[in-house]
Amino acid sequence: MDVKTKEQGRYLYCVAEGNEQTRFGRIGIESNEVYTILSNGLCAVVHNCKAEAYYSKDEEKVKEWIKAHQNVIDKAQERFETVIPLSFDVIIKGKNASKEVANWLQAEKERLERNLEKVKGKQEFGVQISWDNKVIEKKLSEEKKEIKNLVKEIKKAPRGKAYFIKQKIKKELKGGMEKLADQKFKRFYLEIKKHCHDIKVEKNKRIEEKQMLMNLSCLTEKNKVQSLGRELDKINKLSGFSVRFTGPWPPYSFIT
Amino acid sequence: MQPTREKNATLADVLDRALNKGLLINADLIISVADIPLIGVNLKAAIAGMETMLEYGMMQDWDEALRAIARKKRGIIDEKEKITVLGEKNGRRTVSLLRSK
Amino acid sequence: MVTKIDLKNDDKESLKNGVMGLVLAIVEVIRDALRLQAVRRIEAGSLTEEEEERLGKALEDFDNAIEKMKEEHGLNEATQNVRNGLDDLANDLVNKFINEEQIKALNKK
Repeated sequence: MDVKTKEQGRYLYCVAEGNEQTRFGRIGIESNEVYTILSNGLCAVVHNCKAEAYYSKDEEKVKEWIKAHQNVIDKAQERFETVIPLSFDVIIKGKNASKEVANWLQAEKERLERNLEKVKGKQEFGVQISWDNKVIEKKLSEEKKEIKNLVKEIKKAPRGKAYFIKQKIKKELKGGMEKLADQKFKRFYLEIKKHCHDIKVEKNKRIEEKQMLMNLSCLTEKNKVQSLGRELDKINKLSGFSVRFTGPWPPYSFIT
Repeated sequence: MQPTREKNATLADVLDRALNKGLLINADLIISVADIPLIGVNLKAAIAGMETMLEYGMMQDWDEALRAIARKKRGIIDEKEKITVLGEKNGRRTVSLLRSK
Repeated sequence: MVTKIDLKNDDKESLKNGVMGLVLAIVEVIRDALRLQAVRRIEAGSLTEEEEERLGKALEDFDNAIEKMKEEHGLNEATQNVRNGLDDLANDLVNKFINEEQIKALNKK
């Protein structure tokens, strides 16, 4: 009789330094029991699952899964201090999946330890700086001579010509805004960088009514978070600017 | 200024990180997800016209969309956002969060 | 990550509105191109004052017609969504190549 052993899965949450078996209880996705698999000084925080990805068209369900994913990593961070987080839905498969995980920890030991060392004692924060288009446009209209002159011209011009002058004003404003955005980006970036061990530029997101200037992930030492906050306060106080400061997050953006 | 992790305000930040970042693993160790066709409209195809849309398989998606609307009208499904698994590259699963706003 | 442009509209979840939004977005893009062309010709001095006046009026009327259509059919959001999607597609490309260089330069400071 040939019994074909089915493939199992181990859902990976994160990796940490550790030598003791740890159980976290049923805090995993779909209330699965979360525990650690050890290998030579490193441990992977996992739960047992089928050898298939978590997939659903129900968006609320997927959000709950991702929240659970994040929650487990947070709990692991409380226990282990420094962790390397994994993306949602990474599942190591195998006939003896636990062994696969242990082997993987062993094989990647150097890389994992390098990453743990890099992020030790630091936290990741999100910094998003936006401005209110209308406020900045108003400032530019008042300060730039070219625009003030064009506004005067429009009042005297016939309809057709006025249309093109209006386009010209739009173009001047746009150019002015782009130049200012560039200046501010550079200045803010260099100032913020002083408070970070490492910094990543992320894609700007779309926010209603505001223009996002920069979206950063900052890896900062715990004792420098206050000074980072003070720098952001300065920027937030500038007329028309607003800063969104989130975190601390597990160091998702700084793993290589 | 203090950093915030207020749950409702930072859900998008969590999704961003958990879906797009984190440690990369060799593809042969992990579960593969079959590429699922994109749901949405390819702008080029739209400009090209209806026949081309048929060619691109767009009508299939529109047909599905029409059916979804009909079902919604019958109070069965409410789909404002879709999280769709697009496929896998370099040991990382690509997932897209589609917002209708 | 791939940018997808969603046709569904929050206000009126109807495919018709989504498609109308798409159509209007395309119309606006064409209008922008025409406008740009006109401006270039004026700056190059290849139009008379009378031609400039006529063209300006025509374009303004065109703008107003588009706005009216959007108002009457409640398509502002649908159209904006598509345009945002188009912008995102373009920005993805720009960010990929241009900004990487800029950040490298900044990091050297």
